[in-house]
Amino acid sequence: MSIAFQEVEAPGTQIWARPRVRVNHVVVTSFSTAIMAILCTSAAFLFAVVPGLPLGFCPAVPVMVPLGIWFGGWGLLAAYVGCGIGGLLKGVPLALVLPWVVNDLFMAGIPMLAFRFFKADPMLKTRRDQVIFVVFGVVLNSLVAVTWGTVIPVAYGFWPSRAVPLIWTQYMIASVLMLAVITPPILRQLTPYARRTHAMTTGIFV
Amino acid sequence: MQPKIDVEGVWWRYAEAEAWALRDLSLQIAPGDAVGIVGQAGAGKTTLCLALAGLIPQETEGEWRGRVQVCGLDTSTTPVRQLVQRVGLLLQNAECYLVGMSVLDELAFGLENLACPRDEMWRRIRWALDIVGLAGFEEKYPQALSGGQKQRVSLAAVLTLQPEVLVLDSPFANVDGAGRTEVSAAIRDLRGRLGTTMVIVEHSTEDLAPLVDRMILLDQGRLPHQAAPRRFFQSVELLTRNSVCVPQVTELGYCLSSGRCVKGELPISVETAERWVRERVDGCEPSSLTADAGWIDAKPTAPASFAPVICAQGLRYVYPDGTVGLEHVDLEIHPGDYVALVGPNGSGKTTLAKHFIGLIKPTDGCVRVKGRDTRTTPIKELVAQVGYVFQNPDRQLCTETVEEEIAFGLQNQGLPSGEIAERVERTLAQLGWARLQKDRICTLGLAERQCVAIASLLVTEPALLILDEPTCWLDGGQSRALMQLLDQVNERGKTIILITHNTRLVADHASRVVGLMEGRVMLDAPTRVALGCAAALNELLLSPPQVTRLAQRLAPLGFPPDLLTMNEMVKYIDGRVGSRGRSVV
Amino acid sequence: MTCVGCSANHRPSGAGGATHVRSFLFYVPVESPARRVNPLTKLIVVLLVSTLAFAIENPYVNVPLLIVVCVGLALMGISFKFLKLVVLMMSGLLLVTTLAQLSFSAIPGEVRYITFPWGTYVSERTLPYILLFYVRFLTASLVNLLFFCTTRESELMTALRTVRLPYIACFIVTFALRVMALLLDEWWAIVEAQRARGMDFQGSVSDKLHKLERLLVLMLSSTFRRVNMASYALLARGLVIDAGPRTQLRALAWSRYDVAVLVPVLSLSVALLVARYG
Repeated sequence: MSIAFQEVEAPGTQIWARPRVRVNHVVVTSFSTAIMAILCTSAAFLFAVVPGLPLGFCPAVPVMVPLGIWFGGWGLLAAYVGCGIGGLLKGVPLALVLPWVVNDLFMAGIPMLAFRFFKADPMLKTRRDQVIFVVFGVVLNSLVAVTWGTVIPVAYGFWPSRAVPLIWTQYMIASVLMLAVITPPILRQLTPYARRTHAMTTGIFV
Repeated sequence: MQPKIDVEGVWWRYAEAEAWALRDLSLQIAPGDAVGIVGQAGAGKTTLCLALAGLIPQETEGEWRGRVQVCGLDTSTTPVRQLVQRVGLLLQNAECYLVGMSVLDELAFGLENLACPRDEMWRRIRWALDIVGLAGFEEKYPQALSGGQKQRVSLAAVLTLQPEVLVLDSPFANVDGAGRTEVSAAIRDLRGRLGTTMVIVEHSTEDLAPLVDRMILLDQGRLPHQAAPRRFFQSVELLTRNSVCVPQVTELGYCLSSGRCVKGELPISVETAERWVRERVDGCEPSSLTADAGWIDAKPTAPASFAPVICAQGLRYVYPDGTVGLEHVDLEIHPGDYVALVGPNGSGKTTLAKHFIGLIKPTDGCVRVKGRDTRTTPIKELVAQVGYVFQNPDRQLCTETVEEEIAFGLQNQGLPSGEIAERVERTLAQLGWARLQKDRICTLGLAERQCVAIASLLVTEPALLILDEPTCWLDGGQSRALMQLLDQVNERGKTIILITHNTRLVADHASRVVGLMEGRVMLDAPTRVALGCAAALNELLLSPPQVTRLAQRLAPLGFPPDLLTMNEMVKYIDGRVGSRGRSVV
Repeated sequence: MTCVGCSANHRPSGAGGATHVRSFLFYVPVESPARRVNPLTKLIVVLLVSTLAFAIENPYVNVPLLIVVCVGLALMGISFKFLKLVVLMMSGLLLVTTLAQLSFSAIPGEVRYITFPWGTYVSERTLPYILLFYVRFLTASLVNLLFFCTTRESELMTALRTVRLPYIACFIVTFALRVMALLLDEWWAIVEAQRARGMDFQGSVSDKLHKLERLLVLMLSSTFRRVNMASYALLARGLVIDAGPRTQLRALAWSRYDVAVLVPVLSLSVALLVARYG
């Protein structure tokens, strides 16, 4: 039984588009959390730039900034929980992980807020977007996050305070390099994919 | 009787899409019926499944018109939480989304969401496991189960919600022969015991047809054809145009009777095909054509005197956990060979293939690729000789445009940019894809991305191309196009190793079959010999193509039992019926 | 291949994925006394012990604490092969810490073996200080295993819900742990596919960063492609964001074992902290 068709536009269609918290947000957060944890553990060994020192170049850093920019508060949650899980899997004690990983909230949160405040395009098409990214997504967030990430272990007695300048400098160089080299192509290539997840937010959680 | 599923004038377009995914679709399914849905990629099959479960339009942005009622409930207004207790939806690749660390946790997940009391949860879980034949599996880790078992766990998880309607999207995808049998039996059992109304979407019509009362063709969101399976497959041209895999015996019947007065229906199974052919050749003498002169489609095999491209001697591989992956494998593959590597899941096919590119090093024995020992040769040098196409092309495609992707492998080899540009253009021209050169990869469909992955390896001019289940995610038309491309590549002298479960592909394309079972080579023969060896195929959990099975059944009438392809069968029957004229066929 | 995340040695299955036989939390499926203790109790013990390990700098406290933790692990039936993995994972951090302490600390002592231009030195008390730090750090890390080796993800969910965390937050954590296995397979499959195209991970810092960028793009694009279908799959199982009350199949009640564990641990912790800071 075959039927011949005449193309007819459907009149009176209903549009379904409600901005709200959806299961997609939950799923993207879970997936992103898992990715963060993997990048903090397995992937870090792949790129032991300085042998025995995976701390400097952590592959999770250039990913958490786009996650914050795309998914807002969900991205921050993924960064915090994911890097926390990664830290636990690396043997870092729970009592240390909980405050230490707050640095990732700064790393992802500052560009997230900046992009929303200045209404910048995640695809970094214009010079303005690129400048906003460099200022808030490379320099400022690194300054705050690296400072926090260096100070907390000192408070726990890991490192003497006099070691802070050297460790801070190493962290800072690694962070700026990764964010400047890796994050822009990620934003340009993957923003269309992020849009298709229907979990991108213009606000914090919606 | 009120239909269980009533779809009336449904239009649906995804947000930001230009084309309508469903167009004025109307469909009714009575209680207890099972309906199969087929169609090419992008026809709207999964969209229809989501619409039946209410996830379209309630949880998806887009434009909607029309009405879908399931069990008397309007799916666009009834809360999804209420709908899931009436409509059980099992999506494609459901095993990827198993949430629990044990089968018990997995089955409990849905019930916990619906605030089911604990006693009732236990009762339903035990009942569901019993239905799918997995009683005693409660504490098993789902990801450690076989493909068929995982699929049954996913089915059980849906059944715990005790839906009146089951919607299954590709339940047989990525499941091997044994797993398909398990899943088939579970679905059949379910229908028998519960009389559940079912909607099953599947590419594999061979698995689908025996399970359903009616089949439906979707084409660009419309419903041009529906009928009971026997009548459904009579429309061979329409189905082939829509990339639906028509049973091989039906195609055979169509070829034999096309353009002529057709007496009776076309066969849809080997049993009905046997009767069909017997009626038509009855009284004809066995063909005077000999195999050499007549019906055989010769597939040239490379002379063994040529130095082998691959030579594995005493190959043994043991995984880090102590499991033996490969045991004493001796294998030679010569230039120009087209080898099908077959065997059930876990037999070691992919493990063996990875040795050929140096991704895995042997525990004992050695593997040589064009004379070079893979244990000592860097992978970067081996990839110049061996191209490996993974099952999922998206793991290999890492650049933005087609042109960049094809140039990528050459850049890794350190070639000058002028030569790279020239080779990229030449490869695209040879393949007829010059128009795709500047396209962004993210805009291409899966079949096109698969072809780009192959092209990006062909441009490096490897001696050997290995493809791991390349047609796994493709529909009938896409598979045909891809296999034609590989035939052309083989004709130009490239050696091909094809890892596949599909014996029809093997029969149509490969010249040699290597069968692995539990890490050992238990079959290594030309295709014609291999597919005629029923005992070996049984052990490998494979069955020969329908045409071969038909020929074996017709052997008492003088049919050669090693007929492999439809073309050969047509030529043989033509030669046999010959003088009587084909009008009676 | 040893899966770093879950410490399981697994092999690729014929379908192209890895077959994990353990959970990501190093869960060891043996019958042990810890099974009878509520996961929240275990979580509290972990927090208290790791806090003590960092707060107290006294070998007469830290060494016995480490011994107690090791005995606890042995009683739980947790194999010491996990310790090798944990030490390996911590090695980078410990190396940095050792170098930093040696080079930048100034622990007062009678003898100064090395004096650095920037004013710090290595005295006879530096090494014991570092050793004590190792003891404290190991204590805090190993006590993690006490929790993670004896707790399933579903029990973790129970523990988190007991402290009144929203269900969705608990679900995100436990689903992420579940999905880690899948995505870790995907990560290694991507690395393998790129190696099959001739990518190696050698070269300058710039080369490595560009290669990492490629891997990350592939990983994220692969993950994002799954989001919609995963969402539908969860919705089809009744998951709704604000659905109200839920039930639980496995409920772990408080028992005398919890009291037997919590009371001494709490008392000891309070006493030690008061002694340290009081």
